[in-house]
Parts: sequence; structure tokens; C-alpha cells
Amino acid sequence: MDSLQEIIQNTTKDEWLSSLPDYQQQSLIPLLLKLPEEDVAQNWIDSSFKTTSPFSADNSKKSYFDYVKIEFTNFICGNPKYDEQRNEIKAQINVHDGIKTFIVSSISTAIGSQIGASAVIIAPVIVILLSLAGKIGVNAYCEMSHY
Amino acid sequence: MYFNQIMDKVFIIAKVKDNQLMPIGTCFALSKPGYFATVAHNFNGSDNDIVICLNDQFQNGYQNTVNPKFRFSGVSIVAANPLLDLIVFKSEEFKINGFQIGSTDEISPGKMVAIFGYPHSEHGRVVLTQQETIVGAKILLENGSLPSKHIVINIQARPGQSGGPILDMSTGKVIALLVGAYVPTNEAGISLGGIDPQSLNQTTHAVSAHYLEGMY
Repeated sequence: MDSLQEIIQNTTKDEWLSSLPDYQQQSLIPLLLKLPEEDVAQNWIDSSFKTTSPFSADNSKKSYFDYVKIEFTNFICGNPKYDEQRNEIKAQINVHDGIKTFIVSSISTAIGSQIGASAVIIAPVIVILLSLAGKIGVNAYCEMSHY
Repeated sequence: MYFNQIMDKVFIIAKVKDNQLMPIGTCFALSKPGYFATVAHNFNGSDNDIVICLNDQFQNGYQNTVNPKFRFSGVSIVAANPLLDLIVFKSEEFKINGFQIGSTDEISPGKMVAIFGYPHSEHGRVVLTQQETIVGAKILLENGSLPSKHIVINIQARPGQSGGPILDMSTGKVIALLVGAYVPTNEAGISLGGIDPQSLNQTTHAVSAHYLEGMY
């Protein structure tokens, strides 16, 4: 394989999921059997227990999903602001053993720093979006996302 | 359960804003030095400007409530599961040997538990407080269609206690983390003076601590 696009299109959902730690997989896999993938991604990052009023002293809840989606589209569809990270991935493709984990980590870190969110928290969303983009093809994904 | 057994293991986390520490909630040290656990909603998706503070408000057994100064350290998230409302984070500076982790499977309704946290910290009050009560029920709650194990503890909690450890008084293990109060729905509540009146009840939810396994 010689491009990020090819890797995205030739990697299955299960392969992407295996790049996450076990404890995250254990929560995501049952949900992916019940709900559409995008709903799972949104639930992961933005939902809360419906019948529990949280007792943090700071209750200004942020919603991240829409921002992650926009930046993910920017990343895989060629926005120049992610040139450096895409070039870094390209340089690692034929030399890095765990290239899929490297891709998830690179995209999560880049997008996390862009939107002010932890890469650890958004990595499962990136995994699901990579799987969705791979399923329909990167070009079609970018077109559907009006990039 | 004695207060002095836990006061070097339970801490306040705060956000640094305009050079001020704004208390957010409670965390506790895990058995791996330098690692701490709390509920994910305390972090709101990011560890930017979040710090952990030592209990420097103590003076000869009393807690100074007038302008106490705290040593604090920046933290970084090492593991997160927002669906279970759990986060494990790390401090490079504070290497503390903390609690053993148990599970809500190990306790039955009617058994005594101790709760530690910092109630009313939304007003800047930082007072490590112990409460004791019984487990009222064991329940499954759903977040995003994922059911998870919780207990109901029969006590009214307040903002700042989120993430506080709930200890089985017979073993000293942390069996759950305090999440918040039961409300019919958290989507359309009203707020009076910053308080959701629906949350003023003695049905407090806590998520099982066993979900922390594999996160550190």
C-alpha cells in the first residue's frame, strides 16, 4: 500500500477497532451491533446518563462530535492545514509495523489539538469515521461531506 | 473507616482560569503511583488547564476555609470511557499510592458505604468531607444504549462530589464513583440559582469502579 487513501479503503471496521485499547473496544463493540456507526460515535463523545444530573462544579457541557467530523473531513480530504501530519503518515506507511494505530493516533492528536479535546477521548470517533470513509470510498466521503 | 486513612488519597481537581483555581470535582489515587481516577464529565473532554491539588487546607486537623493555598500539578488523561463516565489521568509530580479497586458486585443493598468528596465546591469551598450511608439499590443505567452497573446511595450529594470514591466500609476498597443525582431527565431541567430542583433528592447514582480495570 502506498497511500493513506488506500489504507483507509482496504481496512475493515474490526481492524480499525483493534487499534483501540481493550477497555474502549469492550464498550463500543456491543453498541456497534445495535446502532448505526455514526450514532455510536456521537454517543461516545457527547452523550450522558439521561437520568443522572452530574455533580461536577462546572456544568458547561461541550459537544464535540460535529467539530470532530468537520476536522476529520479536512484531514482526509486534503486540507493544507494537515499537510504536515499527512506527510508524516505517508513517510511511515512502509516502515511502521503498527501503521493503523499510528494513523489513528496521528489523526486524533492533530484534531484534538485543533478543537481542544483529548486525543484519548476522540480516538474511538476517528476509528468509526475511518471505517465509514473506507466503506464508501474516500473520494465519495469527501463529496458527501461537501468538501 | 477513618478520615485520616483517606485524606492523602482523595483530592480536588480544579481548572485554572484567569490565574485562579476553580474547583471542579473529586478524584482519588489509584494503586499505581501517579495515576488517579474520576468521572469523565469533570474533564469535559479535555485536560487543558486541569490540575490536581493537594489537601493543603488542613491545619492541625482543621480545614482552612479562608483563602487556603494549594500545591497543584497539571495532569494528562491516559484513559477515557465517556460512555461509563470514567477517566484515568496521570500526574508527573504527585506519585501517591492509592486505593484498591472493587466492584458493586461485591456489595448488597443495606450495606454501609463511606463517601468522600468536596461538596459545594462550585462556590469555591474546598472541604474534604466524609459521609456515610447505606446502598439503597443496585441498578443498570444506560448511556447511549450501553447498560452499566451502578448503585443508588441514600444520601443527598452536591456539586463538587462528582468522581468521589465510595468505599465498602468492611473492606476499604473503592467500589464505585459518585456520578450525580437521579432526575427524570437531564435534558429539559430548569436551573434556580445554579441548582436543578429535580436533583434535590436522596437518590444518588454511582458507577461501579470495576470498569476502571484495564484503564491503568
